[in-house]
Amino acid sequence: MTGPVSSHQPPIEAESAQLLPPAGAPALSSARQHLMEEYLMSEITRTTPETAPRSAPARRRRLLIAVPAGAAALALAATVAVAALTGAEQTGTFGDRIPAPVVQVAGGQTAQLASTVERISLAAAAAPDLDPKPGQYLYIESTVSNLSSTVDLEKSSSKTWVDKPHTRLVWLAADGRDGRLVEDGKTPAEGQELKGGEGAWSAPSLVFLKGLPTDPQELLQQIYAGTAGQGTGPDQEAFVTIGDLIREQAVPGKLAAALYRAAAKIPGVVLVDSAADAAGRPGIAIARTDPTTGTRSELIFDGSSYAFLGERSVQVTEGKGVKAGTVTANNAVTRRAVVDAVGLRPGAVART
Amino acid sequence: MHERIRAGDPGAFRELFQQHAQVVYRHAVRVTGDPGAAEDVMAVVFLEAWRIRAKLRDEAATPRPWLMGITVNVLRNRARAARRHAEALARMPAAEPVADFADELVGRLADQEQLRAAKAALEQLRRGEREVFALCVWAGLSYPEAAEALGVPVGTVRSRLSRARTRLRALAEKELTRRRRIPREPLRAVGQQLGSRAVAARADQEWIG
Repeated sequence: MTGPVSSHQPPIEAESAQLLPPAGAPALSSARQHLMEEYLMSEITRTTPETAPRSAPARRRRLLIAVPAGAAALALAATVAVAALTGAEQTGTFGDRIPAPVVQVAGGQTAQLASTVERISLAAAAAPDLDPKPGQYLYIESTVSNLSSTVDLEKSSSKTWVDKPHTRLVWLAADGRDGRLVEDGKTPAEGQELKGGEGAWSAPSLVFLKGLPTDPQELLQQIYAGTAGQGTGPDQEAFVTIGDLIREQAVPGKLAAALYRAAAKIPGVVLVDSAADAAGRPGIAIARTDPTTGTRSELIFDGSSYAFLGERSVQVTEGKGVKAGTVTANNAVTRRAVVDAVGLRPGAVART
Repeated sequence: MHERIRAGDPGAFRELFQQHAQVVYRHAVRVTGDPGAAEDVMAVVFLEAWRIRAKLRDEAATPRPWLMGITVNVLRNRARAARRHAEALARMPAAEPVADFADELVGRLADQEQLRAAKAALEQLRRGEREVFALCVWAGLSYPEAAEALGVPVGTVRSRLSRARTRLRALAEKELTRRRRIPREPLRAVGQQLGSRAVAARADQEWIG
């Protein structure tokens, strides 16, 4: 890529260019550029809160939502098919990646949105709360697959790759966001320490969540106010923020119910009848398509128990070289529990 | 794009890299004269861009001037910038082995030669002039873009570029005078200019004298 040199270059520059040897402009080879791209993406998505700027929490979320992808029942089948066609699982420097699954894009509707959200909210309110005591930790286990790359080495045509669905474990202190992250291929095997501060909209702590109103309208207003100026637009930002609040936390039932009801009030939100999380569990989704990117963010719920399952991002209209139907991110929360110490799996007993 | 970068969207960061990696890299190669060092500079520039992404403003149509401003700062103090990202740099994938196709190798050597010459000439300028020259003439930034990258008024860009030109012209003339006194390629002049004994003789004479 050369700098867009204007054809009407001012005379000073044209003459100056002749005064010095035209600096040969050796380009970075495409293979090297690709490797550097992967390297930098891995660096910036690495969880290193100590060097992270004030707005760092947004990073975690974008990783999962704006970019987020995976291997749902349908998606998994698609993955295998695409992989067979392109010859293609790749072991990159930073974990394995696979061609992004492509699914049939199910349409969204609003006719049953209100009644379904009501059922989802009632189920959330009725579920028992997880309430870690000071010194205890929340443990959240999930399967995740995020966008890895869209660069094609050989051709100018782009191809979308995602991480192979892998396990992600997070421990969060009851009184904040300190804890640990263990993610296959992304962190050292023993994990990465988290120092997350007090929590924020895009990376909430339990204390932060407990301070939020449980009236859906009031809650929604606070979300809009708290995320003003961020993301691609206020409505999309409010919607993905609700995902951020729910994903890796233990939202009290009453608040969860309010969050879902608030989501349904955001303009453009629809109900999708068929979605699937990264663990392959089918479900229904409350979803919103970002008009600027053409990506639909879906909050997925079990179709009969109405329990929250996970999230998915599907490219609804082709954009930036990503084909319609491409699942660019997917996750599935498979377990939430309270444990007595950081690093401890549920069921294990803390050593004294 | 600006908003998504500020918000910390890794997808936006990837786009930023895909769209601007080459312009940053090539600028770094020209200024350092060293492709290896330029890769480090490029990595640091993007790590730095991610670190200070909240400071990206909407004033320009693209993040290019902002990114080039970071590049200029990193180049001004490479050691400090590298220290800040030392941990990340330690994880940088090793450079690819140089392909040994003869053509490519020759191309590389020619590039190296040209780079060295350009860098030597550029070093004759003051820092401010050098930066403006590299940004406007080589990287193709507009005056307002260069002004934003450097954090100076557009008028300053214009005057620095004008001074750079004057200085380069003076240098070029000095170089010409020097060459007139000392022929650069006396051996070839003697050996190859078969049809022109006079030229050969003069060259030989000058070489000796």
